[in-house]
Amino acid sequence: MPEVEWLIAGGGPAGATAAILLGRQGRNVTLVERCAEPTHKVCGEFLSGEALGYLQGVGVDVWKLGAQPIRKVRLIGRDVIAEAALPFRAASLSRKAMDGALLCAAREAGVNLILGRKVEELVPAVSGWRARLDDQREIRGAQAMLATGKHDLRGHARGPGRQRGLVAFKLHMKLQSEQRQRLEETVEIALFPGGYLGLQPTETGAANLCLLIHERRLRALGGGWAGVLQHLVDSSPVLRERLAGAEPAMPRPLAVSHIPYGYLRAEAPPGLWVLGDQAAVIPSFSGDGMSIALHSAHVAAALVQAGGTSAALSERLRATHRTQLFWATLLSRVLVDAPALASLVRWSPALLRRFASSTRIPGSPIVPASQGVLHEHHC
Amino acid sequence: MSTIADRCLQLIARQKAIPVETLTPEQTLEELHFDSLDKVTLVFDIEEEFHIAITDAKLASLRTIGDVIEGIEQETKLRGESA
Repeated sequence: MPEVEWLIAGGGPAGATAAILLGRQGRNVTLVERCAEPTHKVCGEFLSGEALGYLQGVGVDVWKLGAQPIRKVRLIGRDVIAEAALPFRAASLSRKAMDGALLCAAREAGVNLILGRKVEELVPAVSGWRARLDDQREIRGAQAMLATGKHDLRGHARGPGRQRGLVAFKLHMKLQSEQRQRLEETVEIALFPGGYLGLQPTETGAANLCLLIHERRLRALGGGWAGVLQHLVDSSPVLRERLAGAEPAMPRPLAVSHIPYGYLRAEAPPGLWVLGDQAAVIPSFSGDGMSIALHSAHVAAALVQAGGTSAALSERLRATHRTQLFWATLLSRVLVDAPALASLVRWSPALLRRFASSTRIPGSPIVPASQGVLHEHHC
Repeated sequence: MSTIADRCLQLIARQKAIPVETLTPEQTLEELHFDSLDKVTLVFDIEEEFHIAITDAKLASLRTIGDVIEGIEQETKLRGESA
């Protein structure tokens, strides 16, 4: 059975970033990722200032990958409720592009990548951890990190979270050119009965539509994407206009259910380093899940270098995100259950800017993008 | 009276618009071309048909039709025991 120093389950933003940083520390790292190649993921694909800083820090130049700058946020209901300049630099980049660049950087940092394989089981073993993959291979690691994102690993499942019953959909859509222009440099958050969505341009020329809808509403709409789309255009003249003539840029939308929004892991199993969505699940668009994932990887790597423990990581993430998670989940519940309250920002657009600021991770450093890229990598 | 397996196969057949006779417990959801959207819809149908709740961990572990049937049988048994 192969033995490695560090075994990381999951090659998304958190896992890949941790792998890069540990690799750069000269450690022996093996990362197992279920997807054989980077694919589209259910994700808002919004990169805040913190996220941009963390990505730059591991050598991912989002602008070279075609990231679209995002300078404004627009809140939409039946009409445009409010619009504000974002108080921080931001960008939009597909997860497919970002995940690919991170895995590339991991390979360059000397990480052994096992792609297209899923970790089915991760259990404590003598002096470390034993992982069983879906091809029945076993790998032993002295240390292990759990970074499987939205998907729970048997034996390490998260609890139910505070905002339940939401289903997330994601689809890239080619908008008509006039609508594409309206969306330039903008992230639109649209409220509709039963949920809310984010819409922003991506590097492919298509717009990323990522939405959350309560399962009760989804069932009432027939349970499928066609019903959801019709509901969007029926709910809002702005959305009807925005999506008029839009063509899907993916064969089918992606969907995820049973997401434990608001979940904060109380305690990791002794010796298991838990990162990203496996540690804390912040609702999309009312919080910055991408930054949390990247931040958790950086905190973990710093602790590893300083001889810290996985328990210290759990403690630090809980302390950092507890309050933020509470307010973001509350806001998400308002957006879904009481959108009329959210539309009060009509009377104070500055609130919209304030809300955007509140999604920042407290105390997190922002590395100005103007510092340039540390090194390029070509796969 | 239909068994849990029969009812489950009917749900899958209806969703994929294929004859129920073509389904076997050994078939994987992947070979039946179940993507993420299909899985969400199937879980909805299962929860509604059998009045059970399926966790994300359980959902992630469903590979074959047999896994789905077994999962439903386990959850309905648990529900019966806690009633």
